[in-house]
Amino acid sequence: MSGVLQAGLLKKDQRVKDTVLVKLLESLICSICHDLMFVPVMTQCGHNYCYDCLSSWFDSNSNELSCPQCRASISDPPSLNSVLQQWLVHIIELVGPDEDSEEFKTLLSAKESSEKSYRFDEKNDLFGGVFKTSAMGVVDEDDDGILRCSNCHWELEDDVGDTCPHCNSRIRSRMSQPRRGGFEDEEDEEDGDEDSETGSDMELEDDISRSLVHYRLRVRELADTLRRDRGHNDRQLFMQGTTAAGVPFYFPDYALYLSTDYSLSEEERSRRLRLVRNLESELEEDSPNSPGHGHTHSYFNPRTHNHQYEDDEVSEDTDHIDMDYDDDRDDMDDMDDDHAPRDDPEGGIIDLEAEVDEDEDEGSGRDSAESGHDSDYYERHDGGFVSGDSLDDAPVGEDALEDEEDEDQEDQEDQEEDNSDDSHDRQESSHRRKRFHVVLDSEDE
Amino acid sequence: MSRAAKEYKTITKVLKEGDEVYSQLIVGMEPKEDLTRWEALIRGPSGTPYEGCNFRLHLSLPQEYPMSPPYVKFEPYAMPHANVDFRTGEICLDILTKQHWSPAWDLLHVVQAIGQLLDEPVSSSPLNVDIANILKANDMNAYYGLVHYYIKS
Repeated sequence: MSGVLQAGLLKKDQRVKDTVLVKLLESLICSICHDLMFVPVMTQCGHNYCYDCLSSWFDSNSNELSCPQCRASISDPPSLNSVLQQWLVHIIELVGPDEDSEEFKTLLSAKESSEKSYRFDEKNDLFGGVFKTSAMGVVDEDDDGILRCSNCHWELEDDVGDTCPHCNSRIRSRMSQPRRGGFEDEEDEEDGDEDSETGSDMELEDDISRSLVHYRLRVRELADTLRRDRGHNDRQLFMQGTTAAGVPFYFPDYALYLSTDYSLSEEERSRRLRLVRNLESELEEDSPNSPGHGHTHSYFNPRTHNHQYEDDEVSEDTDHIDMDYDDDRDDMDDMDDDHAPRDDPEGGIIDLEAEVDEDEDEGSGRDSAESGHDSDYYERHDGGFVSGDSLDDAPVGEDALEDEEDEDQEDQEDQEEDNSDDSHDRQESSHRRKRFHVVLDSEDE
Repeated sequence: MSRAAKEYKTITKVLKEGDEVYSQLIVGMEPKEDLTRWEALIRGPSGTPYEGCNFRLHLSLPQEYPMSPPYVKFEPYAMPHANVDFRTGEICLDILTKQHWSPAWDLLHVVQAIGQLLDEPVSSSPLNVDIANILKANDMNAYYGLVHYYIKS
């Protein structure tokens, strides 16, 4: 292939050849000293400089080693670009015999001293040892997201000075994110969302996950209080859903509560909302045996494991309680006017109709998203949870509700929990069918 | 040969032969005394209140140049601009700070960047608060009026 170019170039007139030569010579010029590079070194971003120039640039700007041309952060020592070096040697050898000027002699001695200084440093430490005595602060978001010394991976805390407490390397840059620049951009774009979630987001996530748990407890308490206060005249409304993995959640859900917290700026609200959604989906993805899931369990329902013996009875109840979502919605539409304001514990919970609408959106989105599982689902559906049975059991369930009054809500929750522990598959299939198996606790019926 | 000497060669060549980018902006540029102090005369960019007027820049190269940025100032009491201190002529421009400077830039780049600053003042980092406020309010009449008042007087 190179033959084509060679032949093509040779056919061109002298002017073009001159241009090519000039361009070639320009590529041997260092952009720092604007002079020939006798010892060209190339950075990892592909830019060439004299060894001496780049070395003194690093020396004068050692806190953040960056490429003068593209500003990419430099983590590895630039290496000798021997192709460029050879080019210059060839040209000098070609010109040499005919040149006898002072200028050419100066050039030769400059070349000599540049090479000498490089050879000297090569035996000792290239670039003044800046790559050996200093390290970068790096964060691996895929690992633990902690700022670490790039030499020894020791954790760098905020109050640590400019040296790594473990290996004594000077920390030349504390990067909160993985290095950007060059070809790595593509990689960065892949997990673009993660990139924006720096340390502070992770702290916030912890915060939110705590308040999420707190919130759910409060909603439950509130529901109990409401039930007691209102007696039996009104239809009591309290809803509990379960996520695919069997984790119970309560309406109004926390994300909706957050979305109406106008004490926060809109930006902050959407940020928190995003984190909450992430958390919720993480909870859903957790398997029942994972530690995270177990923790949530016990937090919500400390008595879960004491109620194991109720299992048989319990499953029946749950079956009939898991009603079709649309039915529930009709019920709620009748009532939200008088319930919504009193449901509101912290001024944040919004009226139920709005909730329902949003929930419906979410639900339908999920349904369509999971339609791919259909064949799998039908198999499970036949073998396990069958809604037809639940109709027969319905009266029993109603009785139970009336009898147990204050206890029943908690029991149902326990039941949900137990189910998810003992017959997770069944739960899962039922939740694939409809996400919102809403427990409608209506004492009037 | 020092870098400043090479720049001197380049600059005289560019100004003599005329260059698409620089001849628009630079009226003249030459060293004073030695190669560490320079003076440049730049043309107010068209489409700005500075159009039709020339402004004098003082550049001085530190010992470490090009590892450190040059010090650049307008003539004192001559440049009404949001990012220029009117009394001292000091310029607020990121590439002139040690932190943002790159040795791959030269004096021509610096002058070009200043020309661009005349075209696009940054009202968020002002050295002349009055003009910056007028710009924030987007009152172009007042902007032109005020700049003209200073330039013409």
